[in-house]
Amino acid sequence: MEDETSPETTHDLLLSLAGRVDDDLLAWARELAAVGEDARAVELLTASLVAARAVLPEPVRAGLVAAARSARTDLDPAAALPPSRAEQGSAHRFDAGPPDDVVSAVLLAVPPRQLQGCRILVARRLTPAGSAPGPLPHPVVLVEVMPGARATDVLAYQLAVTLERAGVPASVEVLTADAPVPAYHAAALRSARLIRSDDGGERHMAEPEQAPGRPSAVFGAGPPSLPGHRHTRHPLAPPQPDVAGLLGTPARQGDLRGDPRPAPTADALPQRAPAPNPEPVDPEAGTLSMPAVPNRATPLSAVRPEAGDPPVRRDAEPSAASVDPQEGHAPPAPPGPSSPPGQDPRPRPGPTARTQRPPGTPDARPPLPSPIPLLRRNGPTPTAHLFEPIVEQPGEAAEQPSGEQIQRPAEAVDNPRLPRNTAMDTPLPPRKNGLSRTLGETPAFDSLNDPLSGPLSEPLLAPLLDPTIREDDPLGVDGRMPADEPEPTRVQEDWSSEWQTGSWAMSPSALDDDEPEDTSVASDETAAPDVEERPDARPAPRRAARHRYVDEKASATAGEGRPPEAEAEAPRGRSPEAAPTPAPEPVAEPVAEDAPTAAPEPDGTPDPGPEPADLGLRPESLARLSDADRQLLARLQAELLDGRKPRVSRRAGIANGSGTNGSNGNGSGINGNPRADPPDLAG
Amino acid sequence: MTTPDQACHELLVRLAGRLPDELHWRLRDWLADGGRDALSATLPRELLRHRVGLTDDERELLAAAVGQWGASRRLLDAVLPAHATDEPTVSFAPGPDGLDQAALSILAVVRGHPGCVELRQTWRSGGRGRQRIVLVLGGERPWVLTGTLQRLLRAHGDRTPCVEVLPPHGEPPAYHRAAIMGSVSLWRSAAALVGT
Repeated sequence: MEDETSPETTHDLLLSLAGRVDDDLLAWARELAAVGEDARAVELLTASLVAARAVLPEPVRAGLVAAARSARTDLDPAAALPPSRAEQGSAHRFDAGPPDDVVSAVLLAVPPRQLQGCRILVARRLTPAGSAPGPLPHPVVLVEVMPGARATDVLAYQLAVTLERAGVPASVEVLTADAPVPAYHAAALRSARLIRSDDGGERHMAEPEQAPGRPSAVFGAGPPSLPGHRHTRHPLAPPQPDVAGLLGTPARQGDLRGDPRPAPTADALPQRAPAPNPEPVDPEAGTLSMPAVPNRATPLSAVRPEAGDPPVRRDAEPSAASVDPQEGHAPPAPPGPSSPPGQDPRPRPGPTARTQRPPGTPDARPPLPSPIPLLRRNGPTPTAHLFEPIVEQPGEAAEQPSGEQIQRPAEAVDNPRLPRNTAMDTPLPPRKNGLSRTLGETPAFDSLNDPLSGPLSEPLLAPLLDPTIREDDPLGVDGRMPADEPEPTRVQEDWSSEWQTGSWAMSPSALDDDEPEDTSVASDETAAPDVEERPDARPAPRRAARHRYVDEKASATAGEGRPPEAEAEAPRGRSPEAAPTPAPEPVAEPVAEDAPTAAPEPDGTPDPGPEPADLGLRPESLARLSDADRQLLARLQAELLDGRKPRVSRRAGIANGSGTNGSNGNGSGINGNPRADPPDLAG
Repeated sequence: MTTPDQACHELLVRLAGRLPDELHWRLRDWLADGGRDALSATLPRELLRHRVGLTDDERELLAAAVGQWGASRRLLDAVLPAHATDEPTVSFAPGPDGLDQAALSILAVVRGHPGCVELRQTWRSGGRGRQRIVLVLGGERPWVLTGTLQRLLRAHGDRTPCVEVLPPHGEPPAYHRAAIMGSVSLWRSAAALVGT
């Protein structure tokens, strides 16, 4: 109760004290009330009135006493103030003033938004107010607002500040349309001049009707017309939401302030309504009421006689009257209600907006891992940094040392270009390590490194793989086709994924710089462990080719064992290797072309051994050989077979370990039909 | 023996430049109006609200003034202490030559007030802008003269009149020393001149 009434009562108290204290003090008190410091406002007002020994009418005096008590001032106006004395009307005199005064100009310049739903009138007071009055005449701005639509005290403060900043200090009295009008304001209204009317659409509708009623701008001249106008507003006034909706932005303030008010106004209206009825219109005093309340025009005194708390209109009501003197105005806290509405909007935007944004930052980071997808080649973890995957690869290799070792030979098998492929294969792993180590361990560097190596290598790899297979066909490598089929698909997948990432466009420079070093180093480093196996790997592909041409069935075993390895291992081996070996592969293409020519040559010498039946040679080549040569070749092959068997067995074992599947794959693969058993078995 | 009114006036003189003008002139106005209750209830609170510290001498004046008028002992004890008053951060200048209507009105009052020796005027700059400062040396019941001159200035449009009625002798506070140095004499009592 106190909280709700105090702001209203403070504003009402200020209205009732208009003309009884100097205008500067009134403006100061309004400012304090607008900012929620009602207690200090009441303290200053009380002190000034007590010091001046002001004689007040009973309603005003009682209201001041109640306000001082609620504000817990050390003053006791009830004892300090002289006894009350009834007043009839206001002793102040007003005039309309010149139509082109500065105050009117300033008010007309105020944005409509600030005055939406308001009617502004201006009068000039010709009589001094307070014990230390300022110069005269003093401009008085009268603002009429719809009940509950605006925060009257805040609006008064805002307009006063606007005028003061313009260098035209004036008193701003904000009156509610439905509320009774004090005699002071009634006198001012009689002489007031309408400056502007920023009413809502409904009021604009009524304006033309009022226009005739109000001669020119003089407001007081047309009281009769005003009531009619007000009556039209009353029905509109109660529905605050409508007003708020019409007002737009100002409606917010109205809503904020309106929340506490609607109830009080509703209460006050019915109670106040009866008051004017019993009261005849005061003849002298400003019985002239604001347009909304024509008959109520009698000042607060008319309402308060019932209750001892005139300043507070609500208190004036029977129920409130008893409460006010004791409880008085709620401590300054109630004035708070004015502030709370203002506080409400503040917290809302701040927290909500920020709470939602935090998620945005995490979302921003995912892009960083995106470069990592390049790592897919190496391993399944796309998010891991390049450096990590590289580590994982060796780890995987450690876990399956045989597997990786097999992969490289298998790749060599897949790509019959023996020397360069092996060289290519060997450098690949070192590059990865080298790149990751040299370029940096940070994800950014990793991402740069991988994309560079990967994209170049892969696009080139894919075409290389296909031609190799085609080249193999004439060589009888068809058996590898089934094994190669999954590879190109995976490579293509890798390529597409890398292409989408766009990281491929980054690397070339880095790779170019590092490649020579890495390749050389890698070849040296990695070559060591693979050197022993490479010779084994080389004959294997040759065998397959020979088997295809010569003994397809015989080659099936050997061919099956290795191609499957290549199939199974190729995806693994290439994915990791492909990334680092992008550059070398472009070089590999020509090598692949050369491979068919070069392959038979090396194959001819070392491999003829393992395939004794036809010596592993085509009929054309066999035709070229003399009988002695054939015999020699047959012997050599026999010897080699004897000597290689262990090797073959090794590889067969290895291949079988992982290659059984490959054999099955071959069996079911395309090569299965054309292929025959490997020559070794046949032999 | 200084009366409470005189002590209060002296205290308010010392508080010039340390309290807001819009409040300071009202306190003086209340004192001139005999508003002892208003001062006793307001002055301690305002000192606390604006965190104005008082020296020992000023505290004695406060106790001699509002303390005698029933001010809350708790509030009086809560007033902050101060070892010395700070030097003024504002500047004073004589302003334009000639006397305006407000100055002429003041001169008319001062000239007829008993005990007045000299009338000086200066303009203070800094803080909230330019402000007229009226300095009166001497004068009986200085708090009454102060209130009268303030109201006169307000009637001429000075919303926060600053009237400093100082004793004819003695060392003025730093604020008033600076004001006197930057002021111009508007009137000087012939009797005082003869007497000196």
